[in-house]
Amino acid sequence: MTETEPRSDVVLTAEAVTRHFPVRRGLAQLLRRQRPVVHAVDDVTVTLRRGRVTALVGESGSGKSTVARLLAQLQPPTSGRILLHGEPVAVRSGRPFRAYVRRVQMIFQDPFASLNPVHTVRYHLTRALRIHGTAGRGPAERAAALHRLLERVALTPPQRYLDAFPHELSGGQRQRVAIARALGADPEVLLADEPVSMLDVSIRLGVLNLLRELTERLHLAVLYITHDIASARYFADETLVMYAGRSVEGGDSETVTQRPAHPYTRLLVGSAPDPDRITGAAPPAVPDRGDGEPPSLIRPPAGCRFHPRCPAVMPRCATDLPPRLDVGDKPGHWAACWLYDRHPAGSIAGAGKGDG
Amino acid sequence: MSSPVLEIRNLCVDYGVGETAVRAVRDVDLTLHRGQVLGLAGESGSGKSTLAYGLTRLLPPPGVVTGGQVIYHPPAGAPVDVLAMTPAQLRRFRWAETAVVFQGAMNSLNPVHRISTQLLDVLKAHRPTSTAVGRRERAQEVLRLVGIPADRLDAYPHQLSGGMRQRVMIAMALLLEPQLVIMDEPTTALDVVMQRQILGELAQLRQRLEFAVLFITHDLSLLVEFSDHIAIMYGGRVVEQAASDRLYQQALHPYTEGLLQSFPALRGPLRTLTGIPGSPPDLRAMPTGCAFHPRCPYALDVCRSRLPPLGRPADSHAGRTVACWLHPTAEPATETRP
Repeated sequence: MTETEPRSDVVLTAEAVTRHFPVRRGLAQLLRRQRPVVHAVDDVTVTLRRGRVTALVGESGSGKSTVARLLAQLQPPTSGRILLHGEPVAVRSGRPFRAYVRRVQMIFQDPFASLNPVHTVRYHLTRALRIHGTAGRGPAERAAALHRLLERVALTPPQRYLDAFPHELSGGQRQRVAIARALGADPEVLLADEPVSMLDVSIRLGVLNLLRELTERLHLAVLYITHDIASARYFADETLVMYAGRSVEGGDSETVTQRPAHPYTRLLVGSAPDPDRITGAAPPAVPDRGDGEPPSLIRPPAGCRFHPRCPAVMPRCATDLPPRLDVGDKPGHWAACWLYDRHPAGSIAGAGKGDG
Repeated sequence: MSSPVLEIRNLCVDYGVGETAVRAVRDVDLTLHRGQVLGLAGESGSGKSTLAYGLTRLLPPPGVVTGGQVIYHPPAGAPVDVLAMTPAQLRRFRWAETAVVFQGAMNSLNPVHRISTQLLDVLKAHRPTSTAVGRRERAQEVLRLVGIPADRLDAYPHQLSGGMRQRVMIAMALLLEPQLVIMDEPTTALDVVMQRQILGELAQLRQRLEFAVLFITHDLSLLVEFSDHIAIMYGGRVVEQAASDRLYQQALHPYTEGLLQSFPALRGPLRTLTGIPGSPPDLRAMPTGCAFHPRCPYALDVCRSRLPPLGRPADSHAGRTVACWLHPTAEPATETRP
């Protein structure tokens, strides 16, 4: 997929990253010399482009936050590489890490926890500016930089907010301060981990629209992590769906949400609340063969990880891992599902249809 | 719609007393009919959870119910005011007549006791004459009802997944066949696939067992799909109430309209949505007049000074009420009977 785009547009790439977390071993495992791990992320490739929003959609435990932490270099990948402008980076601490963080900033889910309650907005933002060397020279320049930051996130007039403490601000305003702090580093990449799910519903869109506007104006590359596939359709250019640590489907957001190809994406889209389906006892639009639970990530199922729940399961799904296969309706739309394997005869009849 | 099971009249709930008291619920009138799902939507701080705890008298201090009535209609016998019940009456009323599934219910199970202990405990307390075998059978029966194999009865909570724990909580609520189940954000912590499964099961159970549900959530798009009737709360007051489909097709209150515009649609054309400007009101310093006027795009002069009464709008059908000066009321209605 990356070959079709101009090279310069790609800012940050996670290339086939895998992250396993060791789990405590029991006596039996010690004796058998096993080293069990949680397969949090397996072989995931994400590309972030300048001025574009990429959504990472999945249930809790699907590994989407781990991907963000790998991209932020907060944890090293077990295998795979993180590329910034095509250059592999692996920084752990010190100056290189700080230089990396200046270019790749993170926004967290909970603005109530990510701001220190005993410090003012001025302190939070000044600190970000100082650390990243963007404060300018002298108090006048610093004040100007602070005002500029607050104006960017639409907290105007800035004087009203500069000396406010976090508890004096509403949730939406706090998240705007957190965004301003991230912008203080003048980054190229924003990694937003569920940036609006803790906010009141009526102000979520305001924050999303602000992020959209900043993306376009400042040419940021944004990773938007969410469990709400409808908001991915609204906000993101591209969408990547994760299930149980693996990416299962990707493409532009409109195609992925309107013509979901992977049975899991269909289940996800079919399960999302839909006011147009007013019935009361609406059965799930797509049947789920399992009990609605994702599998254990310590011993994930062989083959496709969705096969125990998949309504379209085939014998090979339980043994062979499906690679990324082109769905064929739109360029760049792929699904890791054997339904889209063009080679074997007979197995793909009717697979491309069905909107979920 | 059949007879009412719960009538809330002019309920007011304060936090604190005296001059520093904050009024979280103001003059709420709601009627819940037998077998109906009434959705209660609103943002954090709108008073929806406070209302639920106030009407079951579960509100912890400094919460105080300062006025109003909560009339419960038992299937047989005379209506009673929940707020005037003695502790002994209240003990009989709770769980047996009204059960609550709390917010974050999956964490409300005691981690050191088996599911069976926790289920049987309820039966032992409320049906002291039942036999041990009978209690166990009943516990297995309700577990099967919510889709959990009966052999998981002796599991500990940590051996169950989040979705199963949530189902156990619903099973516990249904254990004594209550007339009314109050659900406070019952599926917020779950994934959408699990959420749909559980709500689908709940809808089936409700049809079979005919209990009424008061469903509290901030997710209006979910409510539109799963409830019969919806009441929207803002700043402690009910600002609009209507049948779900009518509310979705034609929202009268600007806040409802804004709330419906706050959920990006999964289908249909992509539109730029704006949400609602500003932030929810501070209960300590409520705006004068209509609490929504600082955020309202249609605010009139009268909105700043006078509180709009909740009533049936002159330009609309019966069975819905709204508190907005844009839709003057035909007659001051205190309750609605569709």
